[in-house]
Amino acid sequence: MKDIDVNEVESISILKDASATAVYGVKGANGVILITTKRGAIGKPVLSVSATTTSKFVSKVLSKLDAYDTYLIKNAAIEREVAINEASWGDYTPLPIVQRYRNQQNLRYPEAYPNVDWLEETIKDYTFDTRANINVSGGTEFAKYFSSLAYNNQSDIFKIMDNGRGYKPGMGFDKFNFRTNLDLNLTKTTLLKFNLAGIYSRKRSPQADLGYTLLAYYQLPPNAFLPRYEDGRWGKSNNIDMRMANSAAMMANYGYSTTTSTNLTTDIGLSQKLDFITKGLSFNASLSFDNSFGSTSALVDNSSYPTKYIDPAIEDILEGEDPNKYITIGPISGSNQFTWVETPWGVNDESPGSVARRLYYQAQLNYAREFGKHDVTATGVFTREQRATGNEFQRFREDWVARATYNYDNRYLAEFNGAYNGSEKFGPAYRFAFFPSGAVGWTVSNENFMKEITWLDRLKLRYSYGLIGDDSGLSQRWLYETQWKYGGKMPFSAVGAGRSPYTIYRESVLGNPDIHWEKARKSNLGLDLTVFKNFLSANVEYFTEDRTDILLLGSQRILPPYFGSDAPTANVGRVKKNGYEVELRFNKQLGAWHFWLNTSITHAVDKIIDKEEPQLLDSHLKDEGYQIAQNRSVISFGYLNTWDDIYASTALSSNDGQRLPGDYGLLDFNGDGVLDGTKDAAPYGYSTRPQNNYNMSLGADYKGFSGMLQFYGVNNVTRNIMISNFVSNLDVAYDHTLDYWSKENPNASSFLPRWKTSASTAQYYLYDGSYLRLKTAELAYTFSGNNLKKLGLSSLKIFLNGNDLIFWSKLPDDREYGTEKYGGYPNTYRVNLGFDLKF
Amino acid sequence: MRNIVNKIKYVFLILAGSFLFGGCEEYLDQAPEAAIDPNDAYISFINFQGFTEDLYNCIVDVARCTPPTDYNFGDDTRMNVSFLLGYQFDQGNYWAWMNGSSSYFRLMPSTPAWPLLNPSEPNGRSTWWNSWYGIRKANLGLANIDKLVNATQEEKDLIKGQLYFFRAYFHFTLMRDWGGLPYIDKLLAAGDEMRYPRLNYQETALKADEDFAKAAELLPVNWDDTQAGQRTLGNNRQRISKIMALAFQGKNLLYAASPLMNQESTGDANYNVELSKKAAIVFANVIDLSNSTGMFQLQPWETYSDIFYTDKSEKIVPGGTEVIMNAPAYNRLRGGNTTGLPNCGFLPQVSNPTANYLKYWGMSNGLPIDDPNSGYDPNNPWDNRDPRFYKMIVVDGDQVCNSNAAGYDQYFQSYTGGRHRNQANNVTGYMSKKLWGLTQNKFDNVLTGGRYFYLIPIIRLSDVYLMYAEAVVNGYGTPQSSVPGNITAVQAVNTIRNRATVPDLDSKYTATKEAFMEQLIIERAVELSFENLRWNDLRRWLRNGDPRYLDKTELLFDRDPVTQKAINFQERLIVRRTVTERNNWLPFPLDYVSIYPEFKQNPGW
Repeated sequence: MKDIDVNEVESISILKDASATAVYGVKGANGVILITTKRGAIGKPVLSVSATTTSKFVSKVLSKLDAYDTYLIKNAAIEREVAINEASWGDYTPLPIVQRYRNQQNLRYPEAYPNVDWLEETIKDYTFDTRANINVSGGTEFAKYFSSLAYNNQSDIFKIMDNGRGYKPGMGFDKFNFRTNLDLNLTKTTLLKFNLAGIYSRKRSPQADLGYTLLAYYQLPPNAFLPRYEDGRWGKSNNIDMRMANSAAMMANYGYSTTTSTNLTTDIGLSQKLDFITKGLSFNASLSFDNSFGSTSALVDNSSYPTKYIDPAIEDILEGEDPNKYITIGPISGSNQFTWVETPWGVNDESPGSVARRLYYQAQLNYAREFGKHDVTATGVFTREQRATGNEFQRFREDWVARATYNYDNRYLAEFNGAYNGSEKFGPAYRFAFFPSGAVGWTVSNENFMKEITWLDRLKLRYSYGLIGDDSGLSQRWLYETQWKYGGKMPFSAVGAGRSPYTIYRESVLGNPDIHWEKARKSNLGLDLTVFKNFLSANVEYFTEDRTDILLLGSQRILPPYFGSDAPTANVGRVKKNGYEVELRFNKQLGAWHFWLNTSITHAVDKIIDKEEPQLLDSHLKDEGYQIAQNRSVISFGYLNTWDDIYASTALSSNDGQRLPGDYGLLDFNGDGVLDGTKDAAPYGYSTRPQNNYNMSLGADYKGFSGMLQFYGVNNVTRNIMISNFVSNLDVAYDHTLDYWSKENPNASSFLPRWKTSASTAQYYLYDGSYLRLKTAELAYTFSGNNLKKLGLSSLKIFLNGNDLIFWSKLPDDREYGTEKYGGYPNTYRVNLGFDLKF
Repeated sequence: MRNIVNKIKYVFLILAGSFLFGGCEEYLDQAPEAAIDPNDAYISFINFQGFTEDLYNCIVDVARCTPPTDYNFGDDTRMNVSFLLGYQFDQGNYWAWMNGSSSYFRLMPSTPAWPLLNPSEPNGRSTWWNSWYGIRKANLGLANIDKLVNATQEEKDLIKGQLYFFRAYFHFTLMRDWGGLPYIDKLLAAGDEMRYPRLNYQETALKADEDFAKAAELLPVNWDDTQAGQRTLGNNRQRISKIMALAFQGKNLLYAASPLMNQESTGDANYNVELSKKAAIVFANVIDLSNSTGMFQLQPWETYSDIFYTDKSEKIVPGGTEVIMNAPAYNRLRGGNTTGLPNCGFLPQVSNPTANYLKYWGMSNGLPIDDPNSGYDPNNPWDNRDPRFYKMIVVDGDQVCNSNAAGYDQYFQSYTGGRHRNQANNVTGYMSKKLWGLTQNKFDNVLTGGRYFYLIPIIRLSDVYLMYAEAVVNGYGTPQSSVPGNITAVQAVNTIRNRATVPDLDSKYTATKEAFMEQLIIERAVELSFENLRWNDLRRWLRNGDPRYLDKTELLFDRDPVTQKAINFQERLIVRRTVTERNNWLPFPLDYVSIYPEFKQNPGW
């Protein structure tokens, strides 16, 4: 969805209740987002050209302390823990040395005492993207067309140094989108639609693992080494921990790879009115064929690059000592010691989905007829889909859906759907299942007794209830049969001929022939209201869902360990969900000004009812009864400030001798007299998914000017961001530790991290994940009128807008979901400047 | 109105008709080429042996589970790095076995949890998962053994023998660390009622004993002498054989007889005489068979290191002449802990031998260092020691790399203030070179050549001799006892000492059972040092919490600037291990002991 060009899109609508999504079969089980692309209209051809240039900046980032501050906190941590771990004293750094990291007194100091801001070194302050689009649409009685071509160039925010090896690694992304939508009226009753669209993209990136660069940005210590020394050698530590990799060197020196991806989608649709059989009958058929292909080529540079490491002790050497003892020069070794190799283009079979194909066909019979005040429609749909990525066996899907609607005088409405869906993921007895749904509605405002009430434009009540099947939770196939794997040989002697001639057979997955469709029972009660001549419209909905027979993979089920394998997949889960959604839209015209405000709030809470958990566990340890992905933690009630506090508190189950004043006092949640990290972990805060989503956009137009702001926020969410101070005993600490606990500062906001010993951080890193974002702000001016017509233009709009401009939150940084452990690609905010003109 | 109703009927008829086509099932059928017939694995010897060889994949090479792996948890090694398993065990935190970092037991391997198909990828190694998987697989094979019709009796026996061995071996691997278990001797289906109670240790061990005995009966001494083994002539050393099965049968019985297990099963904290005798008889059989067939022999002293590593050729698997069982050869370069060398070695985090442990190496005259006549000089602690000291331990000043390119790292400097005496490299003053030779480092470039390869023995002949001695003295009563027709306990110990050119035990140590046991314990500490045995031994002797074995110490000394000799020796405590009664067994993960009450958690956890 992210690859679709915005200029091709006519409208986007969202279908949520069971009745509306029934036609889409199983794929609609979690709702449907319907994107409709533009089609031509009868009239003169309209040519539209637009272009935008964007500058990107990194959003809120995790603040690492510099070397000086890190050493001071490390020293404080060591002083505290020396009582229980004498060995930590060996890592204490005397204050005069610490000061050298900040007061770089001579030219050698920056090399011996590096104090590197890795964010500065690896990430650019800003970078530019460009987008351009040209499209034309028009039509005659016979044919209507819409055609669009777009170009998008993105550059990346990583800095890549020059490696002096004869090639430039570089990073960049170029993409072309094109689309042509044709509507041909073959006869008065036959309409042929033809859509052809494609995406071609080309990406260039360094061969080095992007993960290493991000790790540097988050966890590489500031005092590790310089990215590059004066003599051109790259920094490299003797410590081979993965966080100590010199990402600047890795990005620059390992060559690059270029990947292209081509996507082609075609849709052919035929609509034929069958009024000659019976009035109101029509037939649609459609066929889609999509194909993706990717290829890749690379410049492979595996030869080593010159490295250097300077031990800070070099500045304090004794008389007559050889300084080279403290400088480690990395040897150049490797197979291609001074050259790199360009590999030819080949199929890109590494990225999943880069090579894929899909065939989809559908036949639909529609009936729509009015009989006086009775308005009846009926539809029958048959769909099949087969697709495959790479060289896997094709995946199949088949759906049969029937739908009938009845409308009396636009006041009383009723719908009924029946879907018969088939999935290849289940065994022969369970492949197809029947899922009915229905809805009723009452447009109250059309009633006679409501005609008096002039301030009420529209009032409609609706209710839908249905059963939907879902198999999307199961990504593996053929789980209804036990599967075997064949391959590999034991190495009984060291190499080659000594390898065993017997090829291994093993059960790889245990099958369950009874696996069947997950079932979701959804109900949705809604109210639509418009008042005061469109001044205010409101939609209010209340929804519930009861999902049963949820498939749990073997690895998620708990069987006694002596079963000897993951259990087979089974339909043993159950989750209930309910929530409400309120949407308000205000609209006011005051003279030449027009104001509008749209706001919505969604609240949704789920609860796990059944999950096949070990029954003897305490209820606070079970997932049942709580939200999916509920955060859990051992809970602290404050600091233990003195030794008296420690002796008076509950003992730890393990490592009780490791406690020190300044540790958190922990709650013995299960009351057994012992603090155990596993047994006393209780649900804390919320789940990682927000319960509430808020959205507000507001804007005003005046003559040609228009402006708008959009805010987006969430709350009732907790995120566990693992900020690892002194991870792997490296000198890296983060700014939350600046206000650390000490005897003099017992009300500190942060604990004092441990150096070589460990202590529980309780719920400290469970952050309140609520945030409010200024998602979009735009100022635009549309020229119109005669001046424009003289230039041949029908309209010209120029705009300045920004995305994700401001981020208000208690979170330590602005990072994507799912990147809590090591960190992910940093979020950016953008400022765009562009124009849009129509001929 | 009728028209309307008719039309509506008509419409619904059409719709209903579409359902008649309902479910073209074949469209959604699985592609036929996707399936492997489950019976394929059993139809011929070649296939069934392929099925069985997956079980070798489950034997855990404790040194190669996850770099770095820590595998010595007694009083023998120490490194001050908190994620090493030994460090956590020193604090009494046995829960740490479940973590991925440095634990070969581990519950959290990389996904998927169960052993990987690819034998060259050792990261899936975990005794917990591998053993349960292996038990199931052995039962699966035995349940389907009758499908093997197209094979000779010899071939059927080979398969059955291997399956029985593995079923018992994996139960042993689990019970040794976690205690008594349900003994699973049939294939379980997911729908079965699974409420098997945990048996006590001896019950479980006796069931395993039956399987080991069956295996020993069915298996040959040497696969090279069988018809089926001709296909793999010369590469059969690591396949399960009679002597391997007997050696484990004995070890299993000796463990069941040991004080901890005996106390758990019968309440008596001494050796179980019955089981000790049984063990002794089995070990005697192993020694006899090894001698008569020449299959295994004690490694000669000159080539002692062949037991552990080889750097001659990439085609040789280490083991020498005496290793009865070691794990099949995986990625040669991976792993390494406990016995690496600073900067020269493969990984910086290595566990160092502790000073307290090195006191077990006696003097070259055969006396322990605390004997008044030993001649031990605390100011020259490294002079005139047991020859094994010089083969196994690296002391200050020793050369550790052949190549000059190592520069300042070519010689070990562990004096106070020395280049290698710091928290990152060495905290006790000693290193071990039992598993590493002089050329195993990044400067001599032998690692990348693929010639160097080390494997920790799982069981070797020296261990059998010492276990024999232990079983005899506790089963038959005195150090001079023996299994009728075989060597005495004292002779067994002396054989091992003599091989290392150490004189026989002095008579004052062979006079009583107690004195002899103390020396036997010391002999095991020395001969089998750093081979993942000490912690198991201490536990089973109920000595894990014994104050004699709690302190881990370092040796501090200076280097005389003139003579370059080590002077001013001082022993200092690094850590006192936290050991309480519950630290005799590992805890089960919380989920598994919460399913039904008969599967109980180990006491204290």
